[in-house]
Amino acid sequence: MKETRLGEFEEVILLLVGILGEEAYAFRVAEEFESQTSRAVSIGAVHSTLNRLEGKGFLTSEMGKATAERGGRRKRIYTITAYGRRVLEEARDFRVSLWRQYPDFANKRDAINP
Amino acid sequence: MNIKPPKYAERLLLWFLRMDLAEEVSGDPYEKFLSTLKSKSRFRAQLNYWYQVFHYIRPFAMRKMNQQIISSAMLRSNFKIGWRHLLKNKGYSFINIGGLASGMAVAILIGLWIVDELSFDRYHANHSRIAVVLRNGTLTGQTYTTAYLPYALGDELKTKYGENFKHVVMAWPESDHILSVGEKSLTSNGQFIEPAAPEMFSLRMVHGSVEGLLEQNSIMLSASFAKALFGDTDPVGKDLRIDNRMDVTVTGVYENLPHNSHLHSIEFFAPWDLWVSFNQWMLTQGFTNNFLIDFVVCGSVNQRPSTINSNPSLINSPRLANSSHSIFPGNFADLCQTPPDILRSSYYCFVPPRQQPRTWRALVKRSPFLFQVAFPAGLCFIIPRVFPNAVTPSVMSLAAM
Repeated sequence: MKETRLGEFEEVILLLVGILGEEAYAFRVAEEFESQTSRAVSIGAVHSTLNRLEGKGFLTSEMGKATAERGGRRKRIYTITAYGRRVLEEARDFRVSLWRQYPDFANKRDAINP
Repeated sequence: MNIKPPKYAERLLLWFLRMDLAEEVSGDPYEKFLSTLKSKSRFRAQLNYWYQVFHYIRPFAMRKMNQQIISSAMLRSNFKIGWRHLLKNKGYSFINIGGLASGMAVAILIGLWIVDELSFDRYHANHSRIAVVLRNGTLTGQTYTTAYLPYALGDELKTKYGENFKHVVMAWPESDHILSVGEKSLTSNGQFIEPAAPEMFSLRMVHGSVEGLLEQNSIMLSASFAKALFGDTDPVGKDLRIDNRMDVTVTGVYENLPHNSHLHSIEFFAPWDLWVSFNQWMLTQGFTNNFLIDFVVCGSVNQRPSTINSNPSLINSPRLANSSHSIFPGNFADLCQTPPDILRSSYYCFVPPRQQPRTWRALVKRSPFLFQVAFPAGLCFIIPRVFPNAVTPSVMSLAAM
C-alpha cells in the first residue's frame, strides 16, 4: 500500500500540473515552479516527484509529440486524475478548516497582509 | 555557435539512465540548456546541464546494473541447452565427464596423500627435536641401515654425550605380548621403554600422569586398548599380568596416537627396567649384539638432531651425507670398550623421524609413477575442461588420446 498523503512539495507540483494542462512535462513544471516560488529546483527532483505521484495514482501520463526544440525527442505529458483532484481539494479543505479554528483569523490576516 | 550540451555529461546521463526513460529525460535538460543559453553565458548553460544530470541520479531513474547479467530465465535456458547437448553426444559426454572426474580424483588423492605424509609424526609437540638413532654397517660389501642397536650404546650416549641431549631413551622394539586381567587375556602390541618416553612423545593423558613409568611394575595403556580390557571404568590402579610372568599396575591411560605416526600401532608402554629385570642376558651383550632402539631428544628448541651431529666432539671425520643424515663417524666405535670388527665398519646417525623420507624430493623418488604419469595425466584432463580457451587444440587432442 503506497503512501497517499501529500507533502508540501508534492502538493505544489500537483497544482502546477493542473495549471499547466497540456504543457505539463518535467521541464515546464520545473520552470513554472521556479518562477512561481522563486526557489531553485532541478528537473530531476521534479521528475522523481511526478513519477511518485503517478505511482500513487494522482497523475497519469503519456508520451507527447516530438518537437524540434528538444532535438526531436518526445515529452511525457502528465495529467491530473480525478483522484488527484480530490486529494488536492481535501488538502485545501483541511487547511481551511484549520484556519477557521485559528483565533481572530480575519483580523490578524488583515493586520499582517493589508 | 555551438548549441550542443556538454558531451560527457550527456554520455553520463545515458549511461546510468533506465532505457525506457532515455527519450523523455534526455530532452528535458537539453531544453533547459537552450533556455539558459538565451539569458546567460554558454559556460553557465553547460554548468547547469551538468547540475541537471547529477540531479537525475535518483533511484527511480537508475537502471538496474546487474539486470542483464544475472537473469534466471537465461541461466535456466543455458542449463537446459547444456543438458540436451550432454544427452545428444553421450559418448563425448562420457569421455569428458569421466576424464574430468578421474583426473580430479587422482589429483585429490595425491593431495590427501601428501597432506598425510607432511603431517606425519606432527602429533608430538617436539617432533622436530626427536630422533631415532640408526646404524649403518657393511656386511660382505653391502651397506645396510638398521634401527637395531647394541645395548652398550645407550649408556655410551648418556655418559659421554649426555649434555647434548635432553633425553636418551632406550626401548625394546615394539612386539606382541599377552596382557591378562583375571580370566580375560588379550594380545597387544607394546613397547618397553624408559620412563622419560611419555613426556618426550607428549602423550595426552586421559587418566593418570605422564610419569607413570617411573615405578618398575607399571604400565600405560592406550585409550582404545584400556577400553577393550576394562570397559568404560577408570583402569588406573588395576593389576595386569604381561606374558603370564610380569605383574604390573596400570598407572596411566593416554589418548590414541593418530594413524600417521610411527607409534600409532603401540597399545601399551611398560618400563624398560622391568624388561631388563626379566632379560638379564642383555646386560652382558655390550656392543656385540644389536637388538634395541634408542630415541634421543635434543636439549633446546633450537638444537635439532642435525645440528648435534655437527658438534665437533661427536664427529671426528666430516662425513656428512646431508643435513638430515648426519653421521657418527666410524671411529666412534674406537671409543667403545669392545670393538669387534663389525662395529669398526659401523657408524651411527641420528634421523629425526620427520626428516626421514618426508620431503617433496623423497616423495617423488618413492613414487615416480604418481608424479611422472598420474599427476600430469590428471592435470591434462582437468585443465582443458576447466579452462577450455586457455589450451591450444594440440594439447586438447593430446588429452583426448
